[in-house]
Amino acid sequence: MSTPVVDDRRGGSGLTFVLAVLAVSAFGLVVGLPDLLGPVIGVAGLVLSSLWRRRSTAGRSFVPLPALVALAVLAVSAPVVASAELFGSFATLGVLLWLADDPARPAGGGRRAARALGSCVLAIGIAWSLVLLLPRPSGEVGVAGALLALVLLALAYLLVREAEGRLPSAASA
Amino acid sequence: MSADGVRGTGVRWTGRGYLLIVVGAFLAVAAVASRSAVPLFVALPLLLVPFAAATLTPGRSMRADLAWTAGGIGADVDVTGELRGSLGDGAGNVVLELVPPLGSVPTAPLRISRGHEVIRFTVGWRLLEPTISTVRPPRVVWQDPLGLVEREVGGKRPGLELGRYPAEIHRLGAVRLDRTITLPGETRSRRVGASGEFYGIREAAPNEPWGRINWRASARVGHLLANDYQVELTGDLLIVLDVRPCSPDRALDARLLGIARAGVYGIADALLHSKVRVGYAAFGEFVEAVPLSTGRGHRARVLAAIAASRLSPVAGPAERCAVSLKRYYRPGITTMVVSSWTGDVAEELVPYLRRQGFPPLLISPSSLPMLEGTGGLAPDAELLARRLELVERQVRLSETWRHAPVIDWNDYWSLEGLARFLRRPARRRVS
Repeated sequence: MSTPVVDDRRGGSGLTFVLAVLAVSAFGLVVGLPDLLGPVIGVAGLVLSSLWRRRSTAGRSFVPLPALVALAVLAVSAPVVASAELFGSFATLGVLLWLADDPARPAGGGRRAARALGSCVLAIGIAWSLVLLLPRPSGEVGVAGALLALVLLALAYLLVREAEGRLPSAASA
Repeated sequence: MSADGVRGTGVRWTGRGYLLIVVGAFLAVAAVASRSAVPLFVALPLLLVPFAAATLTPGRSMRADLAWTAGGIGADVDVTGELRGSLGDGAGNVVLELVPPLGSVPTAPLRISRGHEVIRFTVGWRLLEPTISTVRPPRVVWQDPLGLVEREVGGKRPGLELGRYPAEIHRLGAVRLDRTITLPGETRSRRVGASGEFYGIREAAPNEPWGRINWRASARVGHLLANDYQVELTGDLLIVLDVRPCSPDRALDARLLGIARAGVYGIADALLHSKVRVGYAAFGEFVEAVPLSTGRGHRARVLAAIAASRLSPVAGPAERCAVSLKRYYRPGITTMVVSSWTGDVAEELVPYLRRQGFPPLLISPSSLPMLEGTGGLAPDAELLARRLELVERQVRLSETWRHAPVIDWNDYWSLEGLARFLRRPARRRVS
């Protein structure tokens, strides 16, 4: 049993939740499921995660699970169109931003997570640029190129910065 | 690193980090299987962000030293603490996890205020019963804002010593201890006067009055020895803590022992403060004894021994305790037995101790308040069961009264019975 925690500057503003709902709803609309089922699934997953985070202290690590499951359902049922790819990645970023703004943690979580989320935005940007520039059947190549670019960026970052003890080791995992 | 120190650990992924990677991997597989790029685009941030968070983790140089104290009165514990060190911009990402001591309920949440290089916190607990324990220091972890990776922050973090016992014990030091019952065959001196009854011989102090020097004894040993008289003594006290398991419920035994240990700790502390010579023995299967003495060093030794006393896996025979004590202590010392023994009456310590020449006084913590409402009975039946248990306990204690005075410790936060008894022991003489 752990003592409940109250921080002097608690996070959890509703703004990130609204952003996440908008992003997930947009993705749900693009997916094209009948009777607005897409936005309903996406928002339901997000609301479930939010309730879990606010009401219970148990299993806090797995709070994003309902939202991620909803995203996975939408992603699998989405048609292969460029807008779905774009809104899919935005929806994931929205969920991650909402995750960073935790009411159990100090305020400013989104700002502090900017560097980690920024690298994802960069990767999506690269992927999207390649998707738009390359002919349509080669969309996957864009993603692969983005991943490769990110790996190169990470390697460059690690070379510049002292890397010792910064990455999770197999033993600690 | 000292015993109080915590080493900073390497970076670890949390369950949430693994969850994101697993969901991302599932989506990547789904993308390949369905030949669709959409799941891959959704998976991309999920797969990247844990690695990005891991590379942005601050180094091992981050450390936080803890200073904390416990305030409050009686059962209420108010803890205030401060973590100071090289936290840098990581202070906002530092997470504190504090486990309350066993047998306590939180009364105030862990309130954290963060400044530059310092984190202050307060927390409140209410103890359900007296306790002597060391509260483990909070776990201080740097965790990225998304909660994907974490690293334990190193630093010096001592445990918090928590000692809470009944308030009356603080006043025990003013009580002059005397043997409360006469030993078999002993006849008390009726002589009155300043000197009182002869107690023993000791080394003479440099400014010892000549009238107190025992010249015959001094001549025999070759240096000055002086007489001690009972009236000059505050009394010696031997505290015997019964750590034998006394019921099939080990958890209940451990709780009762925790209460007994807190009481013993308080009594020893109060009396050692007033220069009383105190000895301590814990009896489980065998006797573990700290000899009679006084002074600061002895106080630390006795209190450490009391705090270290744990429930014994096996119950030794009571006779063994009484016989063993004679190896460490001279018979005739006032012996305070703290025992919640509820097993075989023949295994009670008191009659054996008295037979071996230790005039005992029994303090018996009762298990009845702990058992209240645990029977799963209707309110009327519960009340009846409680009354029957109380009567049974009174009958058992009255049997013990034949051998020694008994203090029935029913209200864990009060030892008024003991304080009252020690103030007026003569009225409680037993035949």
